[in-house]
Amino acid sequence: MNSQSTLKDQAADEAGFLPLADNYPLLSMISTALSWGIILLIMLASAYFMNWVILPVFLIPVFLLLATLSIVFSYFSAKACSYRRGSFDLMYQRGLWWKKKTAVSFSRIQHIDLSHGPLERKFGLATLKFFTAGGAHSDLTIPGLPKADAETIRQHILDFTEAEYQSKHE
Amino acid sequence: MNNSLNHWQRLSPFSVVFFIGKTLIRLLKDALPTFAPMLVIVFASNNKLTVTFALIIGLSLLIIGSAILQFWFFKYRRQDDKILINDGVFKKNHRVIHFDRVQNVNILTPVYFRPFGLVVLKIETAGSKGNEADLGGIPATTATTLRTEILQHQQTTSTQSSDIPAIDTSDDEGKLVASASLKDLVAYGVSSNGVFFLLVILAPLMGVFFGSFKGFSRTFIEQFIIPVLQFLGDGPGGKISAGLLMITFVIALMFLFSILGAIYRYYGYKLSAKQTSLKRHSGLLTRFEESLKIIKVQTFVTQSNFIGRLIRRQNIIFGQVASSHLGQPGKRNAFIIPARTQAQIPELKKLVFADVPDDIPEHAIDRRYILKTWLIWFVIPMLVISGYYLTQQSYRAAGIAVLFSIIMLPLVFRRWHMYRFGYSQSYGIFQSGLFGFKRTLFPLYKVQRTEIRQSPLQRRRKLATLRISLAAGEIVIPYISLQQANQYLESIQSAIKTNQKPWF
Repeated sequence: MNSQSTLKDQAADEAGFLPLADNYPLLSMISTALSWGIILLIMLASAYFMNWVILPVFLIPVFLLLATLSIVFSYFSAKACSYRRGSFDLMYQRGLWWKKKTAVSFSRIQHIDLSHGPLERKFGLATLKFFTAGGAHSDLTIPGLPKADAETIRQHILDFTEAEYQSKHE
Repeated sequence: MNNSLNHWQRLSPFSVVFFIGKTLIRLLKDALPTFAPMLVIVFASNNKLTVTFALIIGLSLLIIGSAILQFWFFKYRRQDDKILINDGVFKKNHRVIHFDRVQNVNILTPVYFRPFGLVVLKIETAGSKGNEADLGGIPATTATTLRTEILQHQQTTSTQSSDIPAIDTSDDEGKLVASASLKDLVAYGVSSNGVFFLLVILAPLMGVFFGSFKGFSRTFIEQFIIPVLQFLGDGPGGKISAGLLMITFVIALMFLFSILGAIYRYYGYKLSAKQTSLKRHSGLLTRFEESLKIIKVQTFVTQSNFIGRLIRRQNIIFGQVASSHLGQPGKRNAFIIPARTQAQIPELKKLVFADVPDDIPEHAIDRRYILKTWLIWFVIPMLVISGYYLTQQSYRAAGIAVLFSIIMLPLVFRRWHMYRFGYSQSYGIFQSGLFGFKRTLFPLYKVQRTEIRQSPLQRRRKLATLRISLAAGEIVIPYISLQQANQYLESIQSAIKTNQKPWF
């Protein structure tokens, strides 16, 4: 189920935004479904073992409706994410109703985290997290990148900042 | 180079006093509630005097003993371009502070160190909060040597990188650019928002205070407050005037504390500038000597509350890298110039940001901000509340709720009116406020991250909210046109691209 690299057309598409990996919406749906499943399991277990009903039976359809809606929503909101790797900066936009566009310049990035959880590994995806000096609210997280792309982007930025550092300290 | 610094050094034995002070402050800050059980012990015992005496002796011995141990285990030395510090009685700390990570080097002279020529060298780093050093009780000459070395080291590494002219790090004080008279300090005391924070700190302390002297406070109330209340009368008029009297008293107390605090901290304020750094002397009992490299200034903030606007004074803050967590600027990093007049500001602005244009065109934010803020924060909650009261058939309460939301409208309007934003190719400016104001000026290339947000309603009107994260904190500009937001973002990105100067 490994995802194809979306980076190939980078040169042609320098100015444009690229979508995240093709299979990321699917992954997003699965992880949302899993978290709803865990909530359901907890409620069932509490009703079965502890005789403590959190969710009355008549509310189960409401619960299922909410869960389905949020799973569908997670699919479309994952599809709505896109990013742009310019030659000096990185942009990431997301959101279906509440739209957000974030820009971080390479030379302001303090360090980069690359992580891939168990589900992401199955899908061959990774999450990149960029930290700047602007405090806790100033990180930029891009999930759902093909692992190879995430590594390329990270290396590209590290090379850039390294070159900049060298030019300043010589 | 001072060669003795190359070996492990102890602090002066007088530093025990410093450690006692530090322990006491920590006790008062963190462990005040734990005194309550002790008071219970005192009040529950038969022989109150003896128990109190024993407790005080025990506590003092504990504090003095721990201070002596802290002094005994504290060692420091310099190794090449770093300072090593070993301390800790039970838990050993080994700290390494690299010169080029140092944000500020400050020298404090507490009143009890003054006769012995000792000082406290405070080294603040840009990194995590724990990684900073207080060398309490070292000779003044050693402190100045260390500071010069750190600044010189930073200068040699940074002049290689950019076109900053070389500076002399000799001890000459540079040009005096600002000072504050006692009158200025009083102005600062009443015009800084610190007054209101003080109330927040004071309120729980008062609670503890009165709680611990229950008997005393009862007699106090019986003897002083009740007669005043009786004098004012029992009717509604009397209650209102009692309330007003109380509020006036609290506010007067707050101002008094704020002014005293200002005098304690900034007495004899002198700010002097050399080519690339600033130096500040101030303090009544403890003399503070703080230095700041101009390149490290991230924002130039002028702010004032409504009293400050009446007396036409503004306080200036040079925003620096906030090291505290959760994105809130750390208080300790505030580099303040108290109570300036409008005429004094341009010169100080040029001091930190030499190439700032004289005026940056400023714009108001969109009017829809008024409607949205009023609806979401006041009208909708009030409808819910008054709806509830209507079902309870208490029409008066429902009426008050509606009235309140109407009264708030001019305030929301005022808030909208105070928002101003603008940018040139290299600088941005932002103002917000209600009765007071806060204006932040910042070079665009020091921005860390920019974000444009659009709610569904904003999208229909092609509006957006712009969030600009700086190392000194965040600026949120609500309700500007999407086009302006995009242009602003582009300006920031291109300023970072073209300006190769280090931002820090």
